[in-house]
Amino acid sequence: MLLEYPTVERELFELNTQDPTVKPLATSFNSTEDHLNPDISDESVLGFRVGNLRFLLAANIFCEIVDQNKVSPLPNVQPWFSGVLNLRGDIVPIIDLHILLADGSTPLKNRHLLAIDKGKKTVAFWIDGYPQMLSPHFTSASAPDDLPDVLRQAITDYSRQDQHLWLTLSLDKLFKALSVHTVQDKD
Amino acid sequence: MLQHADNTETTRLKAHIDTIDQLANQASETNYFGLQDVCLLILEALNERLHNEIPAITTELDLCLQNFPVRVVEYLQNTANAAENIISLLKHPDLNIALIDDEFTLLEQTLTDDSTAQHSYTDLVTENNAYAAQHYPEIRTTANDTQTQYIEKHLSTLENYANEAAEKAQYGLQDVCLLIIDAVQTQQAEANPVELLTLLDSLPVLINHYNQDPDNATDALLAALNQPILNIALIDDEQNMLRTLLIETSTVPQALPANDNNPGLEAATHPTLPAASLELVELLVMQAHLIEKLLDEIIFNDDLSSHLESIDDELERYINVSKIAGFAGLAQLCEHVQHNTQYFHSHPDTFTPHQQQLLQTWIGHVKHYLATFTEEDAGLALITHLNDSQWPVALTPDIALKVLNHLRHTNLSAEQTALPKRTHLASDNDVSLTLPSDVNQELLGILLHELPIYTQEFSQAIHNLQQDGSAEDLNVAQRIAHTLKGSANTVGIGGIAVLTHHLEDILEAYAKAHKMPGSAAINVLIDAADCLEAMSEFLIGMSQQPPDGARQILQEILDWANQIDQSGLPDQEESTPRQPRPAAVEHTANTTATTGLGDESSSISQQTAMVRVPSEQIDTLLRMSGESLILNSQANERLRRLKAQLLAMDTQFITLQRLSDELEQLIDIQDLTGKTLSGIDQEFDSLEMDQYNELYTTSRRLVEAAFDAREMNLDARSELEHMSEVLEYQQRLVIDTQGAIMQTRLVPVASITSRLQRTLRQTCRLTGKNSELSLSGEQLMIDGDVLNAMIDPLMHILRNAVDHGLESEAERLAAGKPSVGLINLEFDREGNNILVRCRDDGRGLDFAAIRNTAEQRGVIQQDQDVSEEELKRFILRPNFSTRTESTQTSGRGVGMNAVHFQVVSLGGSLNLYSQHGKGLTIELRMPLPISRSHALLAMAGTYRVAITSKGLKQILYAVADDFSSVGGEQILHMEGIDYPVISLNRLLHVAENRKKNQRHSAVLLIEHDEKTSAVLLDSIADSLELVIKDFGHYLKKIPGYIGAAIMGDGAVAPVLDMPALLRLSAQSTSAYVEPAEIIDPRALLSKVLIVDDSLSQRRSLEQLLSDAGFAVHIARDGIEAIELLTEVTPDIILTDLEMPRMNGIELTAHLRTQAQIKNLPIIMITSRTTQKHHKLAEDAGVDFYLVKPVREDDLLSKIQYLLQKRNQ
Repeated sequence: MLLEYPTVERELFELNTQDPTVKPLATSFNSTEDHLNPDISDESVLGFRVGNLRFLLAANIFCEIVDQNKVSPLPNVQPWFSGVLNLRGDIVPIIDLHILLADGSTPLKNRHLLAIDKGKKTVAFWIDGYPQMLSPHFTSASAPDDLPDVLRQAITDYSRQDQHLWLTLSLDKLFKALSVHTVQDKD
Repeated sequence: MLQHADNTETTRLKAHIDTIDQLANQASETNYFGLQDVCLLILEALNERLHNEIPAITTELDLCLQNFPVRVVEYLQNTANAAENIISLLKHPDLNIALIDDEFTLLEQTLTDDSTAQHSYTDLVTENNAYAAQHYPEIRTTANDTQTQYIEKHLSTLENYANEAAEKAQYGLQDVCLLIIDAVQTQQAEANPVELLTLLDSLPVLINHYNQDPDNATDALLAALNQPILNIALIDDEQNMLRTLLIETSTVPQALPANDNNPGLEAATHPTLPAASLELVELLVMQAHLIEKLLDEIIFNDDLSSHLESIDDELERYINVSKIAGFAGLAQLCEHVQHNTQYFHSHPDTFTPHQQQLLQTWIGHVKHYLATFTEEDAGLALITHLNDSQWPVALTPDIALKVLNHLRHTNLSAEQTALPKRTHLASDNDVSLTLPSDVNQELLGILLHELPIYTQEFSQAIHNLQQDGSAEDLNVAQRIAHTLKGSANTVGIGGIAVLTHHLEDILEAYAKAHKMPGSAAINVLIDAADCLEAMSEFLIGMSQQPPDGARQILQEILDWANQIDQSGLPDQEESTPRQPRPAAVEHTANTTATTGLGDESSSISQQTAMVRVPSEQIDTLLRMSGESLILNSQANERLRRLKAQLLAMDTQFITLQRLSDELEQLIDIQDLTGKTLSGIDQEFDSLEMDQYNELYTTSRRLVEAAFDAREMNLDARSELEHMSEVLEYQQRLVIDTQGAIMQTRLVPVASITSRLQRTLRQTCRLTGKNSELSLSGEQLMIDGDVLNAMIDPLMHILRNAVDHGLESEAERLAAGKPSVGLINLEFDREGNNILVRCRDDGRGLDFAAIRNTAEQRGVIQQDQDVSEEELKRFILRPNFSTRTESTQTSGRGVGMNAVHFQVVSLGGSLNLYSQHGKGLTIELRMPLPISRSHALLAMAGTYRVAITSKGLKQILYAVADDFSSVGGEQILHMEGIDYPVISLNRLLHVAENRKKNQRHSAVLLIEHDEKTSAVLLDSIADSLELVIKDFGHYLKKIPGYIGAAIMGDGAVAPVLDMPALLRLSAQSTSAYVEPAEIIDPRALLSKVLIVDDSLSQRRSLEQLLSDAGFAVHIARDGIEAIELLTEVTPDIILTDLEMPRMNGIELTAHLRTQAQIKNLPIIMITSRTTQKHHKLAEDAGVDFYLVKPVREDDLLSKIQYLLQKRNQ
């Protein structure tokens, strides 16, 4: 059972950093955006969408879409902590950023679990649609007013590309901001 | 840094070359052939330097070269002595121009001739005022351009002098410098540059002179100030004031390093005067007293002769002692005096009271010399006295000069004689690598870690030196030798300490003289570097034997060091060492080695070879073995299912077999009824031959197939049995592997006991109480991480026990207790916990005080009924201390609440048992890291959770009668004890989905915070072995959870931390007010910043101070310290003197200029003992200057003193 993960799907999203000639996502990717930048280089970045927010991750970070049926929920934790999952022997916490948005919107049906990084540092997020590759050309932008405080603490940079605001997410900062609320508040 | 320095030096050298090259060309064009020759000679010398890649030139030479164009202009202007000045530059030793005296004279003559030959012409030009413009325009321009630069340079030098003077409170000198700077800046445009430069040139000399002999040089300085060219109009009053200031503030006896804007570093290279030498000096003084007494006792009678003989003997002894102590000059003088006394002895009639007086005065001078031998004019009086014509054997002037040199040289060599004093013969003991029996394992570990790195760097530096290395290589090598010496001395590895000590001295001598060691010296140094590497290899277990021939190498090093001590550095190419060079150290193990080291090497070799691996690697191994275990259990799970399936199949096969048997019978019966299906053969009766039709055959085959299938199923099952065995074996193996890996992390408790003992002793000394620490269970092996994590709480507990637990001696005696308090520390293993009991025989907890504080803080009401049990828990609450701020001596640790905080944050628990007047017992339970644990799998609502044995006392199957309800709370009554009851679902805030009155299937009794609660479970699904993992890098710990485990089916089950869950639940229902904010108790500790470049020194200080209850921050040098200071403001700084990038003095000086932290107490800890360093440090603003080795109590009390002073 341990080895039953969606191999095919996972490979699609593995970014091969060793070989610069491989551009894994450019052709095989089912992007939520219609256009794909054909000139994806090593510097390109990975973006994903949660609700109406778009987040950026460095492209050299290992990402994969994982089977969401394997999530084991935990009792007595904050709602944004959806539970844990066994990814090749590592316990991976799953974070629902949608709950942190607190904008009252309901998440879409076709959510995916995006696992970021490898080994003990792996974290999974619920994302809307699929992640997408972006060219590294951004213009700088400022923080939106309605950004929840926890998220604001986790964002290191705001930038804009094609009408969309992209938030650069720092996992360290996110979890630092979240760490104060790991246990469910008692009523 | 190095590269950068080299580059600027090279650029500078090239600039000189360019200028002089131009001058040479112009000189040749204008027929100044002498000048051309001079320029070419200098060019050659400089180019050679450039070619050899030694661009570093001394500041003095740099200055001379800068001034060269000015000299040329002077020469062209026919200034007197100009030719001589030019020639004197050629003779500059650093240029190393190999000309004999005659050649120099000839050159000078040429210069003068050239000048005379063109004199009339030049005169003419000068008269026409077109000298500069017409015939020598280029020279003039070149010279002019550079002049402005030189003046700028002089000004910056002067500024440095001014700053230095200010730092040393030489305000007079500072004023003079500033006045001149000011004047030059205003006069620069008008004044004659040559005159100005001449004046400026003379200033460093004057200032240096002033520093050495202020009384005489003051006038010269003032005279310079009054030079008309400067146009400083000082009125007489001002003049007098400045003079007074100059004389009064001239307190610094030592010379400022000329033209050096880095006094700290310069000074740092000077040698030390260690304690051992001081002892020898004391011995000499005592001996001098003895001689003096003998001289006083001389009676002019018949015994005079014998008396003189005994004085002669004493002198003989004195000569020897002087030699041993390194006072060669003094020894020579004594020998001279001895000649005199011998003369008196043989001519007793010449010995008169006058001569007695002479000898008495002499010994008085000797004593004076010994008291002042570090000073510049030491021994001068001694020599002068010996020149007295009354001495029958006179001291000839040239001998006097030689002796005087020795007397002064002695000052240095005596300083260089460090611990252990330089011997002449290397002994086996000197190269011994035996570890002291009480070696500090931690420090040893650090040394072993840094040793190979340092020895390698040292070798590299020495090899660089061999291949035309720079002064920087020399400095690097010297610094490494110094660091290694310190570290090796701290740990107690004599072999390395002795070798590096002498190496340091040799390298230092070269560095000081700005010389590069010659090939012979390099060879010895390379051997020594190899030897150090081999020693390092042996110590870290890479080779089996200590280096062969280490003693010979030390001997060579000693020979060199002694030679340098006695006659200074060898000139140019040094003579070969006095002893033939033995073969270099054998790097490889030499099994036939039977030196004196044999015995001791075998004793060391008995230590098993150790491999140092990063702890991460062990963690990876541990994780991987855990992974294997999970896979194994998954395989086992599959196997179990497979077996069950085969078993089910077997039943099916049995059914099949039975059915086919039935079918066969049916067919047989059908046959007997005669209804044959085939009517082909009628010749035989059915009894005569079986008539087999197709149906019959098929049924037979079916029976056989069914039988075979069952057989095969049985075979498969037995195969699976085998496989199950294999898997079981593998499981055991993996568990063993995991155990073995865990073993690598185990350390005995005994490894921390010395630290605990030390803490206790320190606290006793600070509090003035007497106590004894007895330990048990020291041999227990526990996980190193857990043990390390426990050190801090244990220290706090011990300090608290002494400080608050134990009564004063008088109180103890009054209470009928022994005067010495007894503290007992007991280590034990309890399940997967380490249990530590600390028991003291003091006064126990003061419940009244606790209650008082609780009331003051509004935690309880005045009339509230609170049991002692509850009061006890109060002192463990955050921010709860019965002590008032004023009694909380800084640096003595924190309250019990802080200990509790630490223990709980490490996942442990803490219990207190107090007996009034008899003492307090503190019980610590620290969990060992669990990677594998037996667990119960339970359901809480829809969640599947695992419960480990943590806190689990008992599993019960209770019946309804055992429960009762008291005041709305459910109570479990078992064996006469009432337990509060809570269901797991409620603990986890999961909805109860049981039907009403449906009983819980199981009850767990869980111990937490000194009480036991009953936890009701819906059902226990399974009981199994689990590998517990954490929640990854980001969510290390979730309150209420130990971690998570991967089940056989690949899903994850969270592992509950039942005591923590109960505690969390209790907190929300607690009747007492909870403090709003939890302050990390460590924030209350005094912060100390340690700045030292040696890892081992840093660690030993860090350990000492954190053990003493400080929050310790560390930096490797001044730069790092300054960076750190932007984030942390310590309460005190401890710094080393010599460090790379920025040394301790520079750091101190810098800090003293920073407004916010300029009052920060700074203690300097260094191995430098001279007054000079001491003075420099004090001038920079160091509060205390401590010399290594520092006594711990001394350091702590000084820190305490400074902190208290600061708080006031």
